Amino acid sequence: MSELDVRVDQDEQGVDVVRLIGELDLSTVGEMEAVLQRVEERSSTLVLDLADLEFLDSTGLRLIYEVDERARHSGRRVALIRGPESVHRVFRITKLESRLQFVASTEELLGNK
Amino acid sequence: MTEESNGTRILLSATREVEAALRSSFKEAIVRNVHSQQDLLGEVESDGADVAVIQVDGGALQLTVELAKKATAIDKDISIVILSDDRTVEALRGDLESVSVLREQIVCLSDASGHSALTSEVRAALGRARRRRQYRSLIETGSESPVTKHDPEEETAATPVGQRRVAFLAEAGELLSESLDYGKTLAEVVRLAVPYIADWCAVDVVEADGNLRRLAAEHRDPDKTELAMMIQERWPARTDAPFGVPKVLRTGLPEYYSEIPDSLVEASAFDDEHLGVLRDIGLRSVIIVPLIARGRTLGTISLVTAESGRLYGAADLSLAEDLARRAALAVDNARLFREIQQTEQRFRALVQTIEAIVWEADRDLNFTFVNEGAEIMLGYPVGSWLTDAGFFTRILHPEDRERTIGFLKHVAREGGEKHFESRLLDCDNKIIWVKHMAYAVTDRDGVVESIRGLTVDITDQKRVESLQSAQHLTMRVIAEASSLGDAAPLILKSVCSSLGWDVGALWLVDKPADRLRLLDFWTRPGLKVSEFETQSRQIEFTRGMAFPGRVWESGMPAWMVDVTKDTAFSRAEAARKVGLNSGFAFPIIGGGETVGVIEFFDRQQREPDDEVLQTMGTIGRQIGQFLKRREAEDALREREAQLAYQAAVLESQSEGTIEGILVVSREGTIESYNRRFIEMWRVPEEALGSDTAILGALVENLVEPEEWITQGQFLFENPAEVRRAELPLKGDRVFDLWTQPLKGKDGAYYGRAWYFRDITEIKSNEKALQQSKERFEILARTSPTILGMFPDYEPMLQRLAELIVPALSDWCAVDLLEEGGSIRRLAIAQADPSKAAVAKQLKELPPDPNGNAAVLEVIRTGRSDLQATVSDERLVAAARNAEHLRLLREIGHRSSMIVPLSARGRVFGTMTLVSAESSRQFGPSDLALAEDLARRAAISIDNARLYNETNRIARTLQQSLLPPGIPEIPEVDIATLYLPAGEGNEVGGDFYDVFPTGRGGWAVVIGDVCGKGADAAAMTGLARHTIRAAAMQTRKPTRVLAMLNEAMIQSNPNNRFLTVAYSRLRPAQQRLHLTVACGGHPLPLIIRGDGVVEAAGRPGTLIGLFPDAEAHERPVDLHPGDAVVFYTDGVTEARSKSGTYGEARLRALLKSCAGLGAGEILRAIKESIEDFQEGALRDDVALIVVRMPN
Repeated sequence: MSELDVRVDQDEQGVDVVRLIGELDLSTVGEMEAVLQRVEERSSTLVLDLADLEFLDSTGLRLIYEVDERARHSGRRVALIRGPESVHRVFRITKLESRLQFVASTEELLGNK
Repeated sequence: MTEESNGTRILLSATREVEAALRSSFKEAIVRNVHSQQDLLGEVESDGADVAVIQVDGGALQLTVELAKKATAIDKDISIVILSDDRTVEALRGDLESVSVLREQIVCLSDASGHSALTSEVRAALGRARRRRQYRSLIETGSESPVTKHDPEEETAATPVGQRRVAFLAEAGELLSESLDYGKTLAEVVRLAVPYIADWCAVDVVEADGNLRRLAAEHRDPDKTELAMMIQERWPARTDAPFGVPKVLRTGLPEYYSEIPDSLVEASAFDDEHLGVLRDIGLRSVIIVPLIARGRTLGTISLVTAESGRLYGAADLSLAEDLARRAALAVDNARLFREIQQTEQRFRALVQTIEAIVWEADRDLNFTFVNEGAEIMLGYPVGSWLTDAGFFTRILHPEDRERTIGFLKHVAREGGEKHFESRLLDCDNKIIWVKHMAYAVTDRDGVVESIRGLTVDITDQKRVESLQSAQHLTMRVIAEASSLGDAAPLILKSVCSSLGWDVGALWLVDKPADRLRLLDFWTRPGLKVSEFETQSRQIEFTRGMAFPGRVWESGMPAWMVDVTKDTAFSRAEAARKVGLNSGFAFPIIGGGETVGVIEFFDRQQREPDDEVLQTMGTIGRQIGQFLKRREAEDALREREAQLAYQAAVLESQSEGTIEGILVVSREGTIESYNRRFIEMWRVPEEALGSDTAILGALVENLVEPEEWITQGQFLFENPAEVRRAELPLKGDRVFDLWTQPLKGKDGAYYGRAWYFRDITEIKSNEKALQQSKERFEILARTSPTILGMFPDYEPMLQRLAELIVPALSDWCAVDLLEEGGSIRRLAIAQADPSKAAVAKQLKELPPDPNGNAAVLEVIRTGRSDLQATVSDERLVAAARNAEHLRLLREIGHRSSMIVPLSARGRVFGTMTLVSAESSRQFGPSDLALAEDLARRAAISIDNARLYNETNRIARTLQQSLLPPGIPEIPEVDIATLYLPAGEGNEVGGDFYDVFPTGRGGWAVVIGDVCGKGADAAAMTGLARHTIRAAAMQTRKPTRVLAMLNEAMIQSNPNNRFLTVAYSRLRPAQQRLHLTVACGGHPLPLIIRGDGVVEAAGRPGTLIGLFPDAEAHERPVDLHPGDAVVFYTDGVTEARSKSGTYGEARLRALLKSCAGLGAGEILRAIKESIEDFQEGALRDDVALIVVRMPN
């Protein structure tokens, strides 16, 4: 079984940063979903930090897509911090890279506002 | 009636609020609120009124209508406004339409529309009242002197004015009612008015765009008619003009100028030319009346006198008003009619063009309307529906008649709506599957007036469904059947009922005889085909002989549209007699050869259907595989049974010598002994031969030697004595002793026989029983853990049985009820290890479901069976045969318990506990314990079964997602691989496909649907079929992906997406053209002959989420020695502690594969990921290698 650690930090500006550490796949999407249920609605801006994600499969990709989709519908914003090449490859191959907002850091995102 | 000269009278029966609102709006009016409706009537009677406002709630509705009618009868000039809630207003309008539409004397108003609406309604009513008063006074004065002064015609006619007026109105009314073309009609009326009541006359109407148009004009001087016509167009009146037509349109009140001063004519002219025309056509006396219908001013009628010099009087105004009212009504009717007509035309066009039958029928199911769709769908003219009473019943499929008519009658009787499916027969007698949506049209009281419906052709959908269902059912039957004999009737039934064939027959190849023989024959219930069946059962076919023989020989499906005309069909005559028409047969192929043939026949004439052929081909292969598997299993089972039998024979022989025997002569010398006796008593080899030595050895063993020497002496002196006893031996051994005299036929005494039986183990077991109470406790506590451990319940049950013996019983067996009603013994355990062979045999002898075993009673009733002592009759009842009975007796039943295994309210087996050698007698507390265990076991079994079912469906699904075989592409080497991930019950979403696209082209597809499980599998299936369908329509890979994307978006409620690499392959001279398009899928990798590895194609957007998905196609050529590898993520996602396999590793591996064949490359990849992988694969792996050989 894969392992996933999901940590949530809320910074001073009220941005929720969800850090995904480990592997996001069929067996762990449930954990991420549970965390998202708590934070998703409360923050106008949600950052998914993939920097420490080691593995991402299609069900994980689907969940990330859905988070972004839900945010768009309710006028919230989701940004992603790029993961290692093995993870980022998935976004590139599927062309989701250009449909999601990738930022280098939370700072860049806030400067972007 | 008293005339109110200086103020209008408003009577109210309303709230103070309404009263206050009206008082403030009409300050000069006399407002009286009488509160009660009856008082209001009295008030009208005594003083009259211009307007009465009655406020009413729903309940008093009818009364109010009566009251209003009475009021208008008393005061013909009164206007009544009824104020009520929305619903009442709606109801009242209908009621009042007939009485007041002409006079607009009673109006209804919803109190929800507010005070301003009320005020304007009252104002309009006051206007009408004022007008009526005016007319009345005019008519009263006008009737005394003729209106005209200089009309010669008038003079010569010498007819009373009143009569002529009536005659005119009658004629006009007739004209107006004649036609619905109101333009023409009004022109006629205008012509009628000139010269009788006007020198010239014009009708203006407000068009839909709000502009005024002169619809008709007539002048008594024909030359001036044109002028009268054009004047309005040329000099359109300003809409805000303070007089004339615009004012009438604005106010809805008539204008009447008895004599127009020239100054007014001048003032109204736009310019000199206008003035000239006005003077030319003449304006002396004018009446302009509004055309009002349903509260809306539609236009005006202008009556003008000119050269006649006559001046209009009050009677003329009244006449004009009357004319206008009739004309307005006619115009309004015509317009309404036109609107309705247009709406209906639109509706009809819609109904006629819809691809379905739209129909309407009365309550007795006589059709009153049917659209042209009926003819398109079924080929019968629409007329037959409407005129032929029995038509609908006839075109219904005979089996669906009763049900369909029943449903329709139900709707006709009970109202409401019903959706249901049935079959119709078209004019060629072909079956059309349809879905009916019928609903009742009811009147206000809910009584059904008619039924309407929509009947949609769902044949295509049904066909796909039925094919799927046939395949699914067959697979299920195969998966669950124990033999083809069991499966055959179910297979035939499944296919026949899914595809609607009447008869099915399954033939098996008898290999040694080289003949095809009937295994099973199925007929749709109720269908009589006995003659055909008898012949089929008698006949045998050789290879190539007749219909099934041909299929056997060719290994290909065959279709006969008309079997009766087929000379090569030996049963044609019998088929004709029983009415069978079309036939279809396909081979059962197992291990590469035809092992059987399945035939289907139908009374309908059926055209060959590729999809059916293809599906049946698949079914045939599946059955073939099943047969091969069964053959292997049967062989194995036979060998096992043989071995078991041999073992049993041997063991039973050794068991025969289980007793030690010693025979002593009359004189007391040892006569004989058996081998067992020596072994049991451990008599040393050297002691044999000497009686003293042997007896000495015996005494050595005894715990109480003195006691037994005495006993021996006593028995020697009393030859007739018989004795049974337990003999304690040293070393904790115990023998069971039995001794009896040996007597000849004549009663002569020869000596004494001693039988010894070692019962040490039994004794120790009995001791163990003492502790068993505690062990039961432990057992009861620990068993749930064991029970939960096995998803596969068979080992779990065996384990449980082994735990139960010897703690609770000496024997334990678990029997489960199978789907077909047979009983299978899943577990058996016995306390005595030496009885293993008996147990093994008994395992294969579960209770006969048709026999009288007590197990069956427990299954039937769900109640436990406790036998303190087991009678031999019970064993006889339970035994299947003599051998079985022997085995049962051998167990040595003493006491037994049979407890039911049940879950979710269903008994599906039993657990049988038997005490034997332990001599234990079961009581209620034992039963309670056994029942508790059974309950737990049952739940586990149920869970495991559910789990297995899911698992099996998943595996079945998976199989159906992959092509049954990869076609051979000329000059191309191709290899495929599918490795499912570790956990068996979740179907992965990987798929691949290779198929021809026509004109020598091929498609190679690999894809991966996000997620696992049934949903993902369904989408995978859909994707695979969509790609095949799309590839038939277009050769452009990007188009195929676009079509797939569209289809997936449409059928994807859960954001499930898929990735796919689609490639078109076209072999050419010395090369292979490859065009690759990827939708979110890893790019295929090309291995060049020289070891260079490169990606093919460009990344494109994943499929199923975005309508604007991006896709590119890139052509690339493979040369001899080049290969291309299509793969799914499972390859690169394989993992070990050091990380995932990754694309770089794959590329490096492929580099080393240059020059290898497709199969070798595939194997290299497989081995590499298996070496790398630790534990089960994380995801399924699919691989296709296409190579152009050197």
